[in-house]
Amino acid sequence: MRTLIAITLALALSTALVRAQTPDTKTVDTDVRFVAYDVFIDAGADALAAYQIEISDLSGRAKIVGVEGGETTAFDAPPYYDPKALNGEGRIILGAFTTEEDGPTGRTRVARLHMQIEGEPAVDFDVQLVVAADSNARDIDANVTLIEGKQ
Amino acid sequence: MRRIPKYAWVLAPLFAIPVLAISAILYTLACSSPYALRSSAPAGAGYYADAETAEQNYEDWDAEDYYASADAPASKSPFPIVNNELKLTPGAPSGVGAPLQRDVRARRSEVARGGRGRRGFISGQDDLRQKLAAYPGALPSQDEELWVIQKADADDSAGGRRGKGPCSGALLCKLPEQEETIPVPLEHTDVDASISAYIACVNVTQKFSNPYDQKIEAVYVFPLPQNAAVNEFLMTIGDRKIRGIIRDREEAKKIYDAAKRQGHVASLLTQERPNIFTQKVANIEPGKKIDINIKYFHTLAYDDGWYEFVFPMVVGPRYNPPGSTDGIGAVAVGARGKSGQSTEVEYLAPHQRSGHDVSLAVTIDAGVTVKQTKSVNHVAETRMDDQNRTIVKLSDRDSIPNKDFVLRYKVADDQINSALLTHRDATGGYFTLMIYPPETLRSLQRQPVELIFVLDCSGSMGGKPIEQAKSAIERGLKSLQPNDTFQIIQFSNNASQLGDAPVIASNENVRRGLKYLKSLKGEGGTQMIEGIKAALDFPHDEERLRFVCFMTDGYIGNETEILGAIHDKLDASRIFSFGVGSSPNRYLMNRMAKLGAGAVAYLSLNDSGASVMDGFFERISHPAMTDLKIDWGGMAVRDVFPERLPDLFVGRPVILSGRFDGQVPSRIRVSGAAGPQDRQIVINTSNAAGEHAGLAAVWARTKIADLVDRATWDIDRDISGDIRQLALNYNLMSQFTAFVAVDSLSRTAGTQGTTVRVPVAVPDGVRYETTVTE
Repeated sequence: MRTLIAITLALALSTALVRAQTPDTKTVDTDVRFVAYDVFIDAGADALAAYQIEISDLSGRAKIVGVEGGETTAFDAPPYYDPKALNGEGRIILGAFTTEEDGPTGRTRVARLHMQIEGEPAVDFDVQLVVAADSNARDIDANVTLIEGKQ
Repeated sequence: MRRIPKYAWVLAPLFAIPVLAISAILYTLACSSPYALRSSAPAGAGYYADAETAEQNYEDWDAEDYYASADAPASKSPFPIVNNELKLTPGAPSGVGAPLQRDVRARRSEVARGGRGRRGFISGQDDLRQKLAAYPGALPSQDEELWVIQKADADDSAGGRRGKGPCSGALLCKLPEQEETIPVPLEHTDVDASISAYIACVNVTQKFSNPYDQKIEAVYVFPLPQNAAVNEFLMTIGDRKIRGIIRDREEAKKIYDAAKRQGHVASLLTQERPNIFTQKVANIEPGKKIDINIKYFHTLAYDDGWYEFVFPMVVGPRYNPPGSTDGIGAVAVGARGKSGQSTEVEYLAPHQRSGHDVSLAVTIDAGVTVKQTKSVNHVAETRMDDQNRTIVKLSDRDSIPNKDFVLRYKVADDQINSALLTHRDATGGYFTLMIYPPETLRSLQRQPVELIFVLDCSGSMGGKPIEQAKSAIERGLKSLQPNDTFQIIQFSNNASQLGDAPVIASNENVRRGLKYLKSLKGEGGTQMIEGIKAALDFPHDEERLRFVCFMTDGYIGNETEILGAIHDKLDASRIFSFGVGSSPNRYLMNRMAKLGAGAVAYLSLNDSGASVMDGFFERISHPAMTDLKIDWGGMAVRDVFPERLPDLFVGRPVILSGRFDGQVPSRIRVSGAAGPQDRQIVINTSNAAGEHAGLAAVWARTKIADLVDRATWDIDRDISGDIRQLALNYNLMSQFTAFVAVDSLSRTAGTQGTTVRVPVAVPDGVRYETTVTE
């Protein structure tokens, strides 16, 4: 049930693209950039009703600066985060639920993280799905992935 | 054997988030799982803009009338553009404030070293007071402890008020061409409050838009209740909602600035004072709309059968002593930097108007019958819904945000009881306990008093406010008994007084006092520190109880210095603060009364000063129930605020907030003494216990307030780290934390845009000419 996925994201290309869109290069910081990451949960045939994930920045250069909801109505509200874990230990713990009877099945974007990244190299995130459950309170097998978001 | 589902414990840490809505899923899942946790408070997502409607509204709006072209000469621009390059003017040279500050600091150090102790107000409290004086936090320091003498009466005249509203003929006295409409990037504020027991949960949605033809950053300085526990922040862009993150204040500002420079839409909420906040929204493109939703909890005040809900709508113009630079400056539209203060509010001139308006609804789900409601300053409509809840809605005809919204409601007398509220989550148990004083206290009479009236005669008090304050003092003088003594002190640029020491309240002396009172006028600055020194430096008459009554709007920027001076000089005095006007500085008023172990009252522009003063005399006409002790019946409590149990006065309940372990007992017993008699209050928790998800936030906010109070006198201790960590752990706004939200997905075109500050109207009844720097 618990899935551990370590994702290393190559950001050089995206950084270059973002910079190309930058209208005023004189005022742009070179030390930080802002990047969105989409959180996908694949619950297979089960309907996802609740989840909790934990994300750690292994490189220590990422700061979360916003949390957005997902793509389905079941999870379109921004998930809640644990402030104590975030500010005490630097872990991002997110959780959300839906009261809808028919949660999403298959691979679904359940959240989007807005991050501030220091420096150019790619950032290593350790992403864990702590729990996923269906509307009957049963644990379900699922996996989580974190992918850089596109506009 | 079936194992406990993982989410039941894995999700648990998230319950620490005060408004964590995961409780709803647990509730849902509970239907099928015997192991699922239960909670009762699904979090509301708040109000969001109806994007489609908003877009339509925008389309209907004739932008050409208001837009200032980037190419147009600045002088023709009708809106308050402030160039980003503008800097605050350097701080004024040190004036009288500096030596005063040194004096106060010296006194604080003296106290910190174990200097002068305190003497009690109630007989028998002296020893306790002296011990407590050297113990930080022992003094009253919690909002809920505050004894409110009297609230402003409801404006049942609504007619009078309506006379100033948009539907009356009042505006016809001004020709349309004389009105200047100032387009502002804040279109509307929507307030949706729900009250359960004595705790309010408030969702505030600020609807920003860009009516100009270039990208802007909107900056809005606004008030919230001084005990608001702000723990949720959402930014809505179209149909996308981004939850803001609590961060260290400086870190949040850096994130926001970087995002702004790089063209990302971003927002930042900072706290300038416990009741004043600044909202910034960066990179709003022309024609675009962005909503900011803020959610907070707070406890309600209660006084003689009336609960009170207040939503402040405008920051009053503050007076900042010469030399100060960290105050709240009041400047005219476009005059940014002229006050020399780090935070400035831009005020619309009397002939200027903005389109910003407010809608407000309060849902009262008291669990008991609401007998009566009163809206003090606004026209409001009240109705019952099909769930027997009382809904109070601000009238569309009274939607200009230039005065506090004050709602009072009364429940049936026989339904007022001491009440315990609890909440448990993964971080432990939280409670609030409201203790009502026994009615039998009313049968006991008071002892002689020494009454010091301190009247604010500064410019902001000019006109009706000072007249009201004077009428209250007049009533007070006439209410004295022959064995009482009194004194009158006025302060503006400096302080002066009727005589060197309190005089006996003979007919002749009262006549002298009335004549002196009549000669006082509102003009000049607000050197309140001078008034405090003058009032508290009198030698105390041991035979009488000393009450110091401050009559002021509290429009000052150096609150910390004022509160520190009160702490240092209080001695045996009790301070009663009377907030005058439509939008007084409630934070200062309440804190003064708390530090002064006294009470607060508010005189709105529609109140009778005599009536408010009568309320004060009524309260001091009976002794308090003192030396309170609580038998918690096995409930292991800790971190209870206020640390020192306050006295219980007639009609004034006390609210305690704390944490607990173990089970809630069937009974809690409160014992104490009223004069020579012992008294006991038994709280049957089976009848008076409830659950409220906001208690963790309320407790954390109360503890922060306690720490801030300590900072006013415990200057040797650095409490900033304690406050910061507490606020971060509980997702709370504080002076050391801030909410930031960034949309990293996209970037806007062009430079970071022009900063536009949202100008506001001066509070109803306050004169622009004497309070705003042009």
